[in-house]
Amino acid sequence: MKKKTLLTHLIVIVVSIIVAGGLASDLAKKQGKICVSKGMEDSKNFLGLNRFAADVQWMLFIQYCGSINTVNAENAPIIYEKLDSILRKNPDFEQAYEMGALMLSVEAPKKAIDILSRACENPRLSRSWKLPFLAGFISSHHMKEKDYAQAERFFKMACDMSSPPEPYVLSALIRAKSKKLLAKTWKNGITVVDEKHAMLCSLIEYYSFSQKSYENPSVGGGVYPAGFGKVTIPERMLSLAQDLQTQYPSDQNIRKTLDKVKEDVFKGAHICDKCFTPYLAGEKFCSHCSSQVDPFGMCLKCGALKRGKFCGSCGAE
Amino acid sequence: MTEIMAIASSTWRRTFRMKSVYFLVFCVIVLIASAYNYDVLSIGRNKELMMNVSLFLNTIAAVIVAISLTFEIPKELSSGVASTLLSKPLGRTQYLIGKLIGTIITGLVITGFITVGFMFVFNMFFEKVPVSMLQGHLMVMASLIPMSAIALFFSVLLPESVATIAATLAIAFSFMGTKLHNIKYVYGGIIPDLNLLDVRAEAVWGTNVDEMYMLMALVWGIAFSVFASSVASVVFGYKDLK
Repeated sequence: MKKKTLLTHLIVIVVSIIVAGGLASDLAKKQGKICVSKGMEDSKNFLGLNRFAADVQWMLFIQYCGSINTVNAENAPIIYEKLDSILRKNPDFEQAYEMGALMLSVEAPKKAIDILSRACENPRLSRSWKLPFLAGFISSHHMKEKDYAQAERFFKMACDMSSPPEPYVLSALIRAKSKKLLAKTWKNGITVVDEKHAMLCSLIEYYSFSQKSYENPSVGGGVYPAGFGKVTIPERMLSLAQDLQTQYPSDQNIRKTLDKVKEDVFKGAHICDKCFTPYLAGEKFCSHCSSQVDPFGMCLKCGALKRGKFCGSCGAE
Repeated sequence: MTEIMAIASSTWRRTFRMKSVYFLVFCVIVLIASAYNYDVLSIGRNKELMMNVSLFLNTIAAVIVAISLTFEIPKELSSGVASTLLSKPLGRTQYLIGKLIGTIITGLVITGFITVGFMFVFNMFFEKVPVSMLQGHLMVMASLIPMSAIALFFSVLLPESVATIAATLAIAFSFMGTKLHNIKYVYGGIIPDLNLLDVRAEAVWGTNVDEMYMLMALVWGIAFSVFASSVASVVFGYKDLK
């Protein structure tokens, strides 16, 4: 080879290394943004066949599932291993997370949660709210030692992922919150007395959060509805407050909580101080407990019921 | 340039004269179409399966075409065909570039047939092919460029059978990524990372890849193949031919 040719080759080699090397570094950074789940994928991606291999393993897994009668202590680790292998090859495999976690939920709930936690970390599955919901459900129902704090975290995640959240997801979040609060101290030194009290405390917390999210959707990652299904949260709180008032008339913890409900939720509402029953315009006594209530909607001059700006009986303003 | 294109055209013509190539492409398309029947077996994932199978088989086709270089060049060297060619006013570098271009064009046509076949089949069984899938196939086609350069490098460096194994392993491992990300110019410049051209997950998921990224990846593939073929050319330049 001539010296000149060799020199030309060497120059071409150096230039191409610089160009290719520079581009590769840039591309690697850009790829991280485009291929969001690549970091979770098995790096042993022989010929780039991970996804195809995951599909084949999935079909084999289905065959295996068909061959067993039930998921027990013996085959649960095998199922987990098979699922783990599939999900390492294809971390976007939503169906495998869901079906696998459901299969393992009773016999190996921790492993089921481990699988679902991985799904929750995958940005590509950020709209798949069923997966964190399932994880929360397993944490609060199938674990031997129920982890309500973890369940709450997962239910919250499920709510954030779906906007607006399904009523049953919201309900599960509030129930997990209340279970977590049981026999613990809530705000202002209030000790939670029983399940209803815990539920009321979590509803107060949720209500103020939903109000904030309504005013500023960025607070909770979306607007949270102030109710589940047909029942609104204030209605549910009112019913709980009435029950607690009847059940624990002299308990200081309940008293403080009810005061907080009045202050935070029912400020300015026409509710009997004693029994939490709403009263109507013109009523001077509570129809439920006969306590005196602060009347409203009456003419100050003649005491007749006012329907507008002026009194219908005497014409006073 | 005429000499390079003459070598390149002889390479692709030889391949396209073989009827078995078309038969194999047809078999690949039939295999892709057969994924539709896995509806029950995969619990309704036959659409994703068809996409993954098409990308997998297209990659395999691309690898096989690239690897064919490791048979062809050592064979021409040992049979004396290369010596005859090089006795004409044709440089060794031109011969290698001609072979590389010929192989790339062959691969592009074959993978192109498979892509078109997939589009037809997918359209027939499901709906219109998503843009992301087309991008995925285009990137597989683009990956032919660095793959062929790797094969060319090994074909001049090693004897026939060893070169094939070495090139196959090098291509396969190039998809596994590397831990040399932080060593600038070595990563991507000397050690290839075919992962950069792998957007198959995005293709199946339906995420459209930025055109700029695709263009940059193509330029990277070309730059890397310039490096690999230049090194191959230097090695070939000092090689004793029969």
